[in-house]
Amino acid sequence: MANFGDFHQVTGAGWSVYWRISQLHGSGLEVWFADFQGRRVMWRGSQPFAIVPYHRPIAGDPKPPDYTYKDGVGPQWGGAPFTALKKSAPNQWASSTWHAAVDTEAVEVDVEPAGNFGPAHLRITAKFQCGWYQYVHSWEFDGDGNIHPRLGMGGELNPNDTSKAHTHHMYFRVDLDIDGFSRDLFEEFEHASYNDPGGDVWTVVSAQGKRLAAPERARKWRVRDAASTSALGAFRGYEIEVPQLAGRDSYSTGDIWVTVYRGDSVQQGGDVGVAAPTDDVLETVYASGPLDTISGNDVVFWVAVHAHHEPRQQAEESSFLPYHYAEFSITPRGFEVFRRRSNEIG
Amino acid sequence: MKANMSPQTRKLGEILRPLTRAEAKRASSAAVAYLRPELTRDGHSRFRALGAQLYVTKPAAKGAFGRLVEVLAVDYLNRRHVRVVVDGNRVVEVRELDWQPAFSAEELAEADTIVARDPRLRNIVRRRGVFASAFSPGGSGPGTRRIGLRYLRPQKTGAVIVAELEVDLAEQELVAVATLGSQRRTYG
Repeated sequence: MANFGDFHQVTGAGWSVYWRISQLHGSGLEVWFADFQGRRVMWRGSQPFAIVPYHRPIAGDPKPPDYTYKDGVGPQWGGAPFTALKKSAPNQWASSTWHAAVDTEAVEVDVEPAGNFGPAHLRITAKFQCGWYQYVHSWEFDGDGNIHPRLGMGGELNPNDTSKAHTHHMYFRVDLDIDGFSRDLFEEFEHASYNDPGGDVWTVVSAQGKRLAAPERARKWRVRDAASTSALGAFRGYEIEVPQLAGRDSYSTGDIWVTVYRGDSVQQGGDVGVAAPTDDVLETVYASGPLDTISGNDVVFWVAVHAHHEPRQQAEESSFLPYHYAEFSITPRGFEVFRRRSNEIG
Repeated sequence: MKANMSPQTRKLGEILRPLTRAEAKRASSAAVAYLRPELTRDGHSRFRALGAQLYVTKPAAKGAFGRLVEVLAVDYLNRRHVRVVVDGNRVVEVRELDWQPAFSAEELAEADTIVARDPRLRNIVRRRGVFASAFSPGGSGPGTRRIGLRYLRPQKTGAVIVAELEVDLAEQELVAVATLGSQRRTYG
């Protein structure tokens, strides 16, 4: 058994999921082969890198002219890899004594039964040192079929200037394989008005590319199978809802990118932010080419979660950063028929 | 443990079993043997296999899943990073990376040793309680292998940086130094 890089299966809340941490110093927690009630939902999910621009000027790091880090896989511009910590590591700039010796020291798996106010869930969590920051990578799989990819931010403020605000743009790569791969469509939803028909519209996306959030139009996206249906005839699919805590900027230019699967060793984020600390490569290289709107594709999408952090360096965050979280949701639509007596399957 | 597992995942059962040390060693040896002619320049070579791990990928149409092992290597002499995929003893894919893969623990230790060669820095970085935190210096081109090390002294109000250094592992030398209260100096 290797110290890092093996696949570990966990079950609960109607799910079977594998997790993996590829390397001690690398790209963080990955979830693989997520199956719900015996059906494949996700081939792989990861949150391999972050782009973090700071307010400027600042003495010391990050450096001009961009004052921006690329962290995680293929770190650049003064950024750091995600280093797996023991799950009991303190919330601080932790030394190597807290580095996980093996992957199982890093990951915590919680299974909780359904309660009066929510479904059961299976949650896989690990934390990673990244310079003075700590990132918590968490994937929650609920008994009602929902998936919550989540990012926690903790550790310490930039010691060069603890007052400097910054934005964490965390990138998630998600390869949904609804009931198997190669025949998924990517669709975009908009609420245009209250007048039907046509008040709400789903549009099949015909080309890979960058998409922008628009809460004023309730914009969301869906990956749906081109053939498989629920017992009542709905096409099986999963929606992607991305509520943002901050906006886009010249470093992080989108909210979601639709691409197609080109393998599990390419287009994993290592080459993003290398030439410049921006996500341009996602649009110009990854999300390039047409989509088959009839037979479907093996769709892979990227999500950027934006979270602006205004430090509380003279009070709550003066010695460490209490973890604060940002997330998005992947929600079933047409995937399965729920039973009346329960708010969840199983 | 098969509850809720899809038929597609059940088929992967054997593929996903943990990589054994013997398999990892065999894959690394096969990768290095394959690359050796490219790794050598004027009779010299200097490289490092960064590790081996299982590589799972979707097969092409009508293909089958295989138990593949991925090996990453740094070729310091020729300044490149290479990814090799091995099936048993057979190399099935070789690709030069256009980005810098993660530093290995061995490389970090080597960089720390290069720093500590300097007596003045050794006094700082070997002080009791001081620890190192790695980063990637900005603007590294493909094939560059430069490691940044921040040395820190923990305090109740957060860690303090006592030195920030850059080491070029290809050249085996310190290329930039900044210590607490001093200006950054660039070597070379």
